[in-house]
Amino acid sequence: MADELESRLRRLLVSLVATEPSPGLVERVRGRVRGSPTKLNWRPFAAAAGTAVIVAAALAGSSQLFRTTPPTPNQPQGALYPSPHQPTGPGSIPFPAGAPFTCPSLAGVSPAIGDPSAAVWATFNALVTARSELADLKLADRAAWPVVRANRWWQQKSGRAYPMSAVLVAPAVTSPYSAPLESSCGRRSVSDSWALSTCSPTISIAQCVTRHPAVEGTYFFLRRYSTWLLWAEYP
Amino acid sequence: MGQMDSTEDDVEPGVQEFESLVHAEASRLYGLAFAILGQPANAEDAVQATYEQAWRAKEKLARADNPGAWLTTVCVRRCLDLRRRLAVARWHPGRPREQSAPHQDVDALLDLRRAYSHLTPSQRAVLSLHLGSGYPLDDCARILGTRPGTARSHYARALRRIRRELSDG
Repeated sequence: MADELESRLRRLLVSLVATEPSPGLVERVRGRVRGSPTKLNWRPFAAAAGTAVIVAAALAGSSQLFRTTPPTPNQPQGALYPSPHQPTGPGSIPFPAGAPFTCPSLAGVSPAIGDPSAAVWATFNALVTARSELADLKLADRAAWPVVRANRWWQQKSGRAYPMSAVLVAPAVTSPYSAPLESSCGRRSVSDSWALSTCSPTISIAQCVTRHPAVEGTYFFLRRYSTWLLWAEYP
Repeated sequence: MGQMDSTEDDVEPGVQEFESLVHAEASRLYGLAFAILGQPANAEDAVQATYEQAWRAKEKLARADNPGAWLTTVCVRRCLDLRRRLAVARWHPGRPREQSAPHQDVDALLDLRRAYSHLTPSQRAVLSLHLGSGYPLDDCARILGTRPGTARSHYARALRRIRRELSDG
């Protein structure tokens, strides 16, 4: 019994310790060491530093949203948040609160390497636990900034991270909502994206897949310079 | 090329070596922290705090025979410190990777993960180090800063508790 339990635990723990960090972790650590302004994750210092320092850090970091050079010399040249463009196709996605729908720039966008589920999931959880507009915007492509701002997400979210058992991450092309996005923004915007659907905690993933493709919502992410960014949500 | 050279020249001495260490160890430390803490954001906090401590002690780290082991020790202790401060935070029994394998009994795996999530941070740390990373229990004790008997006790109690939860259903 003990041997079998240990064997099962070993399999579980080997998979847990192999969990990949979100793509930006190494860059954030490098940023701290080099004194670069890429301090996106200031949570460890927030309690000690107090509100004034938090505000100062947020203001200092806001310039990062508009930077056109990489945060460290090791990142590829190019902007992490390039300007979006107007939809070119006939499709149309109605965004809440009248926010204009735009398409992401494909500059710096590349397909996922391997299975990016954990990275997409981590980015999504960073979004749902973010506490400020700035933090939300940093996790989103400019195409999604209008809807992020219009929804005032940072004020509405529960702040609870989703366990992986409550989400479904899959290539965006498998989402039933990919067709209008592809029609509006082109095939590559969708083919290089991954979609995360949140499922009600009362149903299993299997039910979520087969009966309710997106029980609560579906969120589309693309990968630009190794950073996953939200660029559309549905509904 | 020249631009890159001048950029690298501007970097404080020791940064390059330190960044190599960051690149080599960050994923492994994150996985370990995630197994102990159960939440991605907290795991990242622990890893960042580990590297900040490492940067402050970079001379000492440069002399270490095994920098990876040094970082592991700091990271695990940071996790336990963080876990104590975030006593209300719950470990999320998320979906294990094996679920995608068709032969796996997903329910059994989720039950196991749920039982694991109910362990104390020290128990999870010992299991993660011993079963997940392959450290002998004596090394686990050294990393945790406890006596070998204490690490063995954490391990035995963890197995007992998981077995009891699984049998209770």
